[in-house]
Amino acid sequence: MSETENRDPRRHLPLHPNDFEILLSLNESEKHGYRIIRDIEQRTEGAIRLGTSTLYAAIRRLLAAGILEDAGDKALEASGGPPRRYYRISDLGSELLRLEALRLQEVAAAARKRILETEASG
Amino acid sequence: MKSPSRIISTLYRVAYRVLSPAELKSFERVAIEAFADRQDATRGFVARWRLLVWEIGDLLATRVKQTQARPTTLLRRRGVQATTGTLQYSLRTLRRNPGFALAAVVTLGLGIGLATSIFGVVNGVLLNPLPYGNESSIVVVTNSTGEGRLGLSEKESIRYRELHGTFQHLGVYWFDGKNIYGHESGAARLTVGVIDANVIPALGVTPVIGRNFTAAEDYAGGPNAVILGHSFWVSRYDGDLSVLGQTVSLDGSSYDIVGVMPKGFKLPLDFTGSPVSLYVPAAIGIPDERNIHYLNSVARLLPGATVESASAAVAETATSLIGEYGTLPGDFNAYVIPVRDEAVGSARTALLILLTSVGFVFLIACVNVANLMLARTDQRRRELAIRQALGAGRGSLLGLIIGEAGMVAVLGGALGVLASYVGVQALVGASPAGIPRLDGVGFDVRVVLFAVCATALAAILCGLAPAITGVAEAEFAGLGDGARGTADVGRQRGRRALLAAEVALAVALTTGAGLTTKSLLALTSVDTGFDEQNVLTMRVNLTGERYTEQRAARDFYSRLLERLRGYGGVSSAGAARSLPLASTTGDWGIRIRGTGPDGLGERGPKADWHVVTDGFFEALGVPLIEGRFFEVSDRAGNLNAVIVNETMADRYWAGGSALGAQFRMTTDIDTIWRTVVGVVGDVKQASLDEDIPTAMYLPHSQFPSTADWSVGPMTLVVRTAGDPKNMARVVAEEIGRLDPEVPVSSVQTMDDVVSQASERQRFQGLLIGTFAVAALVLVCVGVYGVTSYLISRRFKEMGIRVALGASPGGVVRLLIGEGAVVVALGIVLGLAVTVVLSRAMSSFLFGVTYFDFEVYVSVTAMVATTVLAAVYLPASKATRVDPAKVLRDE
Repeated sequence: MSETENRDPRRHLPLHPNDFEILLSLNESEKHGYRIIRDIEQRTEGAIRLGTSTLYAAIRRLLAAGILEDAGDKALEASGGPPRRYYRISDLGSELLRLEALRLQEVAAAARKRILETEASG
Repeated sequence: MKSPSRIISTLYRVAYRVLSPAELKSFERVAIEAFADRQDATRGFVARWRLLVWEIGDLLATRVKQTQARPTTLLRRRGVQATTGTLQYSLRTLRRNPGFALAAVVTLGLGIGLATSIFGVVNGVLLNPLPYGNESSIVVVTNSTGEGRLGLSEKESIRYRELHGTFQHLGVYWFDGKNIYGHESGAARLTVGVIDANVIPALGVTPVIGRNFTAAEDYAGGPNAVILGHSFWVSRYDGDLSVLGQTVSLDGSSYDIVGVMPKGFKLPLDFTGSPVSLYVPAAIGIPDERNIHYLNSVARLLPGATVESASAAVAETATSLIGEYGTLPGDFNAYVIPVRDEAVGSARTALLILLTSVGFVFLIACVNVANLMLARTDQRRRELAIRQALGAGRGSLLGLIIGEAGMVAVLGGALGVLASYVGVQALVGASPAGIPRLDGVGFDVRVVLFAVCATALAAILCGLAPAITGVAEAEFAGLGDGARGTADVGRQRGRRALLAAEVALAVALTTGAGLTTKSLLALTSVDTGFDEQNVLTMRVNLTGERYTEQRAARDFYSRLLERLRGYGGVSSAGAARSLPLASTTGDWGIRIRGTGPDGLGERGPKADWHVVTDGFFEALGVPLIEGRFFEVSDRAGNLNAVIVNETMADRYWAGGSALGAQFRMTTDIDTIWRTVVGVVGDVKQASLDEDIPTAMYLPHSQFPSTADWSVGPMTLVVRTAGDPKNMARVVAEEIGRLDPEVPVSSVQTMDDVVSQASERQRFQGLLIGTFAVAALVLVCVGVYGVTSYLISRRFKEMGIRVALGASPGGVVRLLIGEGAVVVALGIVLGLAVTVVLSRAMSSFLFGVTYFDFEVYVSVTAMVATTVLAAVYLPASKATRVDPAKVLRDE
């Protein structure tokens, strides 16, 4: 596999819903594990609740594909407790997220069109 | 004490280590941190535990997915896909029913966890190999009489050793205490193993450095040599290899260090109590003519010899010795036991009783979950029927149900393993002294294997009944509703049988706990024969060259006691060679003046011999029955006094008074005629449950001086006005002022001594009691759940009954009556099981027989009331049924 092929974000499409949510969460700012879980849970109003090992299995995959980057250990801003491992989205990841959002938009538009047509003919 | 959140975090960490796929191992730290953060954000005790179970489920699901994602051969992938498909489906259905999943997983986790914890201890104590070479050929030779086991005498050990074709080596040993000097913290008291040169080869070990004792060192008057125990070598010499050739000062004499024993080495009788620090040669020399039975033995069988053949050989020799020595009782005998029996002692039966008890809790947990699964299969009847209609075979339906049971069992097993990981440590930490080999208890492959087997058994026990009825259900469903009645009857009968079995197990376990508790109560309320309140005790280790003469020891104690009595806080003070309930003593034959022939030997009247100072009986609070206690005036030159206990007075001077009677010992240590000056109350000496033996007390101030014998080490007994602990420092300082080189040890109050004497029974009672409570709670939850379910299935019937004029009371009576039949059946079955099993407990019971009517009746009443209460709650709900609504709904 050539380097350009590997860097082509389209080969990662479509994204798994969990991966999409993780990228969406990290697109705002870099975060540590539990912050990602909480952010997704809050944003989806509890519809998507990631288990800790599900999250890290996804992070492992996304890191290996160059979609995420390890941002190193950082002290927690608020509590000042022990440092946490932060992750951030890579340029490839940002591009991928944009493409996936567009794809979803198209899928949704196409679906809406089909539904309206069916209702009109019925 | 760890907080619950720390326990939950620890459990997650262990689960992550065990369950996470290889690819995620590098994320361990961050995943655990994220879990901790998540737990911190979760409010409520139950919610946190639910989070743990949910996260462990997530770990398993991730693992299954990762395994699927790994490249495999086509053939393997198909098999894996079918299995993981079922497992994934099971996981999904469990996650959809968190209430059911939590109840089932926690119940099985409790059962498997308790069973694995106890097995962990059994494994460490009973199953792990002893630290010897080729253990199977190592045995212990012991004598016996009608009264029980008896040690070997020096002459006997030589006769047994020389038996043709039996033993390759036969060594003898005993334990002693020695003072070590030159230690940074002053003098210290050490436990010493006194071994002859045959012990080490008999046990199949070799010193890690240096050598065994030579024949010269192991002969009376030979050079002083010492072999260090491994932990003593490490703690005192920092594991220094150049320690050989250095010397140690023991009891004032210098000993050459000739070797160091391997790590973990212990003598067979050294697995309990204070561990041996070093070994000195027995140096027996010419065998003692008195034939005193004080030696423990250990022997290695020659190839071809067996425990049976060796037993027969020593028994034959023992019989011939009776005739030869003329001093042995007629029932004198000898036999051989495997070394493991000696090392483990009575802990075997105790642990097997605990394992059986915990096995019952495990079975109850399985039956409970099986009942829960039955109810769930019922709810899934429609789903199963549809699956079958769509072409699912019997196999795949069975797979679905057993898969779910398997998943519950695996999750329960995982929880159980985590719980037992904590449980084993807790058990070892809480165990009283006296259980051998606890230091070797841990979590090894065998324990994990046990947990895996328990999990597999749980899966089968929980899944079998639901699987069979579930498949039958699906087939019946195809025949329409008419067939349901028949299936219902069968199912309900099955459930009731399971309930009866649960009740039976609970009755057996609770009766065991009842017997143990009653025995414990009897033991702790036993009359010790003294008043243990406000008494301080302290071992004074008076040994060494300066005290080999009895006169020196006598002076030391009389000066010490005089000084102590001068303190305002001390109401009386004395000392004894062997403190009641803390040490034992031997017996000496006696000859009572005016009876029978005089002779050395063990036949005829005898009594346990004690040496005490004046003030001892007053300080310990032993009552005077007749005559007087010892006085300061009972010294050399005056009347040779002796005090006897009530049992001795009643046995040898029945019908008259023992006062003024005279007797002498048949040993040559004390050969003078003594006059009984007092009779004191019986005192429990060896244990709380012993039968009081005849006992005589010799005054320390009149104990004879012989060349090699003195009573130096004694235990001080000081009765105080206030808290005895406050006097400990003062007493130790007074001893230091008299002689700074005398170490003191075992500083404790008499209250502590008495409570330690029943510590093991308390611990055992606590464990069995805990199991019984756990069992009863599980049974009640199970009975409540199943009865609720069964009654909810009969709402229509109840509706009709009420519509036809049955009173609410009548309906409750009907339902309770049905429950009562099940409970009664369970109780009868349980009592039958108990009568058979509790026989094994006989040797552990004190003051209660294994068939104790009171215990059986109260346990039956308690189990019946509790279980019927669990039936009553759902039954009373049934009366609130609105008949019109029920009939309309149908």
